[in-house]
Amino acid sequence: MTPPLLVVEDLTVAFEGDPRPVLDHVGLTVPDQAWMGLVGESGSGKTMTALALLGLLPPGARVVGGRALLEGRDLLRLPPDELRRVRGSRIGMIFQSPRSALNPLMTVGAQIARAVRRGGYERKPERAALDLLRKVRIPDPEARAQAYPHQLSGGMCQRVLIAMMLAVRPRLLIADEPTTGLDVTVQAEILELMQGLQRETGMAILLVSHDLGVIAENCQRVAVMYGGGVVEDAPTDELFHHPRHPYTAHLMATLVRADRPVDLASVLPGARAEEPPGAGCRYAGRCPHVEAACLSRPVRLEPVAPDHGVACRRHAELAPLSLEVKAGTRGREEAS
Amino acid sequence: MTAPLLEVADLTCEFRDRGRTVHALNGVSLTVGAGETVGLVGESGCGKSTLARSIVRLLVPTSGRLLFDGQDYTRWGERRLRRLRKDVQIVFQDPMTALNPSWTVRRLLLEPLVLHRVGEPERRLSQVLDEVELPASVLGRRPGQLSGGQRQRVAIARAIAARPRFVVLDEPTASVDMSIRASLLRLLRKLQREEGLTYLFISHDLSTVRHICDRLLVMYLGRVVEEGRTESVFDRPAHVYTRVLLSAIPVPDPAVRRRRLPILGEPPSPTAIPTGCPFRPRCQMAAGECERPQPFYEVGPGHRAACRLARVEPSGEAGTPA
Repeated sequence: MTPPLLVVEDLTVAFEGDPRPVLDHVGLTVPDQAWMGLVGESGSGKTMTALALLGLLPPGARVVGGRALLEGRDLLRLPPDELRRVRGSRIGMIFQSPRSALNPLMTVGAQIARAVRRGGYERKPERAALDLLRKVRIPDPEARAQAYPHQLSGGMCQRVLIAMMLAVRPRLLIADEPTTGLDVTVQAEILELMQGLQRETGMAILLVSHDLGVIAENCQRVAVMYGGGVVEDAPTDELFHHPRHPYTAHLMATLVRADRPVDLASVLPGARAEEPPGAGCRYAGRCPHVEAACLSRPVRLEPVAPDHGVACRRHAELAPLSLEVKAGTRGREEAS
Repeated sequence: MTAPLLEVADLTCEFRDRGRTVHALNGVSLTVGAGETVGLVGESGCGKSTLARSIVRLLVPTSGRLLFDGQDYTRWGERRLRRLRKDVQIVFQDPMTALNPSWTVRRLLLEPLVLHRVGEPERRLSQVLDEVELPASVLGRRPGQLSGGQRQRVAIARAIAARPRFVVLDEPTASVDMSIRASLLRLLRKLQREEGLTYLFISHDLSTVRHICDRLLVMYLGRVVEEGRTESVFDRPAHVYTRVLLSAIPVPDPAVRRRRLPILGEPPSPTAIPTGCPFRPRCQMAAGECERPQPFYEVGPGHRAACRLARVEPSGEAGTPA
């Protein structure tokens, strides 16, 4: 087995003046040349994790602990100018709103050409840019190269960013909700392009998404985040069919999916975690299997199989978790 | 058959945009029976939100007719519309922009009760809060102090407060997290049962639609291209566009391998509507006859599609012009 490309250990991020960290001992292993999914609901910390790896945390937030080793270098401790070099050459990124990631005052052709130059091995970057536009299946590339981002649709802008990634060929691509907000037919095309990009360059892709369909179809491995930490990290098949964390099991049981009906009557009144008091398991406020001991000390990810980690102190006695929602499990009213 | 609660007949809606005409709706007809949930699906630019806004008469359609309970309200003025709005309500996609951020939940919920002169507003207020499963503790809060799921529940409560008969739901679950989505759908269904509501459910999310709608209408470029019972449309999609759309939904099960049907070219522009079938320029199966307007062909009980492939040749069994 090839060694993983990126190993994140105990990544902890806090906002100034807030004693409770937004990311708490996040651990992740991104395999080389594969798709790794990062799922969770809003506020679970998945985007914050991506931003921390890129050194792009919002003002006021800072890394207070942990490490993130990419090719032997700790991204969290690189000096700013060195990190800037790593970003955009070793690590690429695409975001949910592709238009805001592009320079509004530059034609997309010129922006791709700049990426080609940055990739550093093309004599005629403008011509290479046209080839790349063709490659990401942008119709009429000569005309589109002259267009500004605001003249292109969201799906088109995302293709432009993928073309730039093809020019730069990073080892790791962090894609944060790259197809959220796009129509399903456009989403399917963008994901196919990303698959091609991954095959051609052999890069690893860290796909941040709330869409379990997108994750299931593309990723070989998935980490599930909840309340600022990773609660389960496993091969995709294992995670979807044999989840070991109660939160993952809950997600799988309540999935609204198109290929078969779910029994809505079995879904409990809305539930959003109230933060557990004190230092306990972050899912305790919502967990149907909670015990007194779950509330008293932090629960960290631990291996249940060589490539499967779970952050639940009761995982052994609870296995196998049911993928049906049962009456009688605790339903809490949502609280903000 | 009893008369439908809502009837939309040959509705068109055009806008002027920078000197060009945007054809948002091109002859849409539909009916919704009392107690039904009808889903309206399609991708951006297909006209589904224009249709929603026309039905609640936030827009005046260019031509065609809108009937509620047999009454034609297409051209009603504001005064008469106020009466209609007691019966016909809408829930928008993003409660953050639909709710006044400086109002408390109490004020947000009292407004429709006062406006529509509902007796004993305080009593109805606490009742409706119960119905949408919100605790009384939210009454003093403002939209920004609520979770996304709670906010959408407030928007739903506002819509049903004055006991309407018909509610247009315009992407009601698009702004909430996956784990909240199922519980919102369950709530909407419960409300329908208890209050005897009729829904028009607009969504681009086919997974959601499958779980709540009795019937489905598929729209493309301002037109309905297929309609039928939900299960029938999912099991036997007849229009090529419906098949493409269904095949593009990712399946949240790594054991399932789906085959995506291709779609040609780029999303269309509502400023340049092709002749004949609107999907023709992007359709792999397009033929010469698709350049002419396509009639609806019956493909099953109550299930019809405006696609030549939905027609079965004289030797075949199904598919006659409807």
